[in-house]
Formats: sequence, structure tokens, C-alpha cells
Amino acid sequence: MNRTGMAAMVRIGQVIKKSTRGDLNLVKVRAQNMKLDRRLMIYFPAKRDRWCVEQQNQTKIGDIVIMKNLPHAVDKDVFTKVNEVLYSVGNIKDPITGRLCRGTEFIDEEQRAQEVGRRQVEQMTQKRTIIE
Amino acid sequence: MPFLKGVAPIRYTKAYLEAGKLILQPEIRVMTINYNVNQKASSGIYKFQFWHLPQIKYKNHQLQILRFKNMTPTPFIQFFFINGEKQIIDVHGRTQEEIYDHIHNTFCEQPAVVKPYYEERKKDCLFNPANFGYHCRHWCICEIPGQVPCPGYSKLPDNMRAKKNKEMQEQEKAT
Repeated sequence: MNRTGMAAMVRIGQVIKKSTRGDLNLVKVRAQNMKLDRRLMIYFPAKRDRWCVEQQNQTKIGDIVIMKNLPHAVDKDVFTKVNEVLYSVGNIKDPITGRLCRGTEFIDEEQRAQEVGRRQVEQMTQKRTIIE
Repeated sequence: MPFLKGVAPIRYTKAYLEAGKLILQPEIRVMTINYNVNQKASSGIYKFQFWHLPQIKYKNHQLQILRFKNMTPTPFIQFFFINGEKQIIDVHGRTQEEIYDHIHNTFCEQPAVVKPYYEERKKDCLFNPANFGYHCRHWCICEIPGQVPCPGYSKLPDNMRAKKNKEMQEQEKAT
């Protein structure tokens, strides 16, 4: 395959591995797509792993990342770069509201719940002092 | 012949896949669907991806389609374009039909209105008075008052007739 002129490409994948090659920070990204089984006519997930160049060493293993093609292939198997981190592990930001969330809950609510717990403890200690 | 087993096995028939109408714009390369399992507000998007996801993938072969479940409290669809742009559709509490219509109207290729050649030619002819011939207002310019009359009915003067011109030139050459 001729890699001198790279076509424009956008793919989303998850970071699996990290390594270095010379002075390049490399990151292995697994991009999943749907592949049709022609006999069953059902789409099954098919993975494709690619080594991506990552300039700022900011990704963690498990991050979901947007990949783009480099203008020229750096190595035989390195021809993509990490453009942007979509969802970072443990720090997912809901793109509609912009708030941090964990699963089906916003993290702000948990913080509020912790504060409520602290207030309840303070109230109990105050009551004891009044009774005495 | 596919095995027609499982929930709604019609989704796995070739006729159903080819009947898909959501052909997204070629600039869109990735489509991510975020929804939550067992959430009422996500029921519309769940039904949409249950019925239409195989159709979308069949018609848009180069598109990468991903499903993220239970990642964010609100369900949404996100499109990623080739130039780096992103578009989000907030799908909280929406029905399957609303989502389908939204995507069809905003993100799908609208079919090009292809006019047949002869119809276009007819309209041009009728509209432009400088056109003559079949499908036009006039067959020949000789029909218009003020122009040279039709040589079929009245002979042209000698200086406009090539035959006479040629004879005159030959006579001049001879003399």
C-alpha cells in the first residue's frame, strides 16, 4: 500500500498500550468497527489496532481518543496521530452539559451528598450539647 | 439464506438492509451513539439503533459506528466530520421517529434533482427568443418581420447567393 500521500481519515479508538520509539511517544489504539458476516447478514465488531504518535504525553491506558492520519508515514507501521482525547478514563465529561460524570450520575451530586452527610454529623453533636 | 432466529430477525435480511434510506453526507466519518440501558429517556434512541443501525452501516460502508453504553447520564448521538468538526444531537426523551427525521433532514444527503436533458432544452428554447428550431418559438429567423425573407419563397439578391458569387469570381478570373 502506497503511504506517501496519506488520505484524510478520522477514527475513534481506545488506548491499549504505551511505548516509545526513539524520541516519539507512541500509543496503541484499538479502533472498533462493524463487519458484515455475509452468510448470517449480521454485523459483528471487528477491531483494528494502530500505533499512533502522541506528542503530549497526556493519554492514559483506557482513554477514548480521536485518531487522524499523519501527513507522511513516520515508520512502516506508524502513520496516525492522536488528535484529541474524547473521554479520559475516570474523568468523563458529558459533552452536552460539560459536567463531570460517572456512569449515569453526575459527580457533582455525589459531592453534595458527602456535604450533606457532614452536616448531619454536626447537627447530631450540637443536639447532644443542648440536651446536656 | 440467513438464519431467521432471534429478536426481530428481519433486520438480518438483505431486503431490509438495502431498504435503508439514511445515507449520510460523505464528510461524516464516525458516528457515536451514547445511551443508557434501563433508562426511560434512552428508550427512543435504543429503538432507533435497534432497528436502523444495520441499515445505516450497510448504506454507509466507510462510516465507523460506535455505541457507548452507560457512560453519561444524558443520551446523545455525535457525528465526527473529516475536517475535525463535531456535531451533537441531544436525544434525551425523544422518540425513534423524531430521531430518524432529525438525522434524515440535517445529516443525510438530499437526493439531487436531476432534470432530464430534453426538458431543460425545451424550457431554454421557449424562454430565449434568440433560439430557433425544434421546440422553439420560431422555426427560422425568416419568420420574424425585419429579417431577410425566406429564400424558399423569394429569391435572395445575387450578392447573397454563393452560386452567383462563385460564377462572378470565375468570370473575373477568366477576364
